[in-house]
Amino acid sequence: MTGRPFDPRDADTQPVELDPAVRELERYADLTAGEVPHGMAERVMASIAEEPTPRRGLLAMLLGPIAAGGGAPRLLLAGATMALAVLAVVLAGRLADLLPDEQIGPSPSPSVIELPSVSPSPSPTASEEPTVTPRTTRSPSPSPSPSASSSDDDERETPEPDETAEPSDDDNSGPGGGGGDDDDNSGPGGGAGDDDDNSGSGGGDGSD
Amino acid sequence: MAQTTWHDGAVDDHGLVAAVLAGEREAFRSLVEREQGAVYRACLRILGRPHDAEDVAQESFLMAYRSIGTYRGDGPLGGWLMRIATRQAFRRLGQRRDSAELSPDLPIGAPGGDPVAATLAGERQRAVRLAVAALREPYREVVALRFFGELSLDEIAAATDRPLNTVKTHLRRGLEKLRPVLGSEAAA
Repeated sequence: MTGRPFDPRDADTQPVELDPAVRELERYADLTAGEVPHGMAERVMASIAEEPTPRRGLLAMLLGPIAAGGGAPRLLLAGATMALAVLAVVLAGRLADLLPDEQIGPSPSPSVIELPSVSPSPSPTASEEPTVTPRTTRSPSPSPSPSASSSDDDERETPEPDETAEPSDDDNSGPGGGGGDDDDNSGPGGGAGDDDDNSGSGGGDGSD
Repeated sequence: MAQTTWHDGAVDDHGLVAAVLAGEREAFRSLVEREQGAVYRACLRILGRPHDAEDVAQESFLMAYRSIGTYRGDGPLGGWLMRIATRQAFRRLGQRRDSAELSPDLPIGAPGGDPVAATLAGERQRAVRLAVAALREPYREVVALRFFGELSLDEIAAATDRPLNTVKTHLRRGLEKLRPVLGSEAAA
């Protein structure tokens, strides 16, 4: 009989299911329970006599005391692992703080640059240079929302297209607006002139 | 400290290993004397030939001595040694097959009087050996350690560094694969 008879619970199964195989294996084990050849231990010891003294492996050196110690060293190892994990997270956070802000997340500044391109140009003549509306510097929001151009109290607001669609002698306001005698020459790039329509960017230097 | 442990009646695995690593070869002798029976029987059950079994058992002890520094102590030293022995035995069996050795295995423990009964017993034993050897890993290892090495499932789990439930599953599947072969043998 083998020293350790099979228990069906070992394999989480019913006894009937595996009975033939288990029975055959145990019968075989019973028959082959031979005695150890005489002098085998001496021969083994003779074979290791010329071997150098073995050295402890690195992994066994690290894990040996833990495996031998039982519960307390295992708990200590678990605590040390947890502390190491927390330390790693804190260090990662510190490292993230050291990085410049531009490298983290989207930058709002490019949207301000694109703002003029989405606002309609009031001048019938196309301006080659992108008109920077001063309002963008005042806008608290960096968002290039076109709806932001509907601010009412801004004097230098970009005029509506219908205000400059038909330039008059009286009103040369607006970007690139021509200069007049008594007229409102406000607007960026507005030049001074007599009666001419100096509309367009970079108005000329009119004389009185 | 280590000397007092392994010289005492109850040989402690860790003390024994520490003594061997400290250069005390006699400490290893106590391990050999304690485990040689189990190791030899396991090799004999896998190989079927006493001479091969002794040869492989000696090789296994030598390998264990050389690599005893890698023993981590998370299971019994006997289980660790048994795993080395079964692996060596299956390796030897593979080499024997490769060399196409045709000499039939003699029956082990069969009654010597009746030649027919001895032949039948030898054929049946050979069928068991071949059936287990034909299993894929990890089923072969678990079945061999359990039935040939006579290790408990806890010892197998520690020796193979696998969870106990995984070992149970491997054993069940291994036995399921053996049933069509060994079941018919048993019925015959």
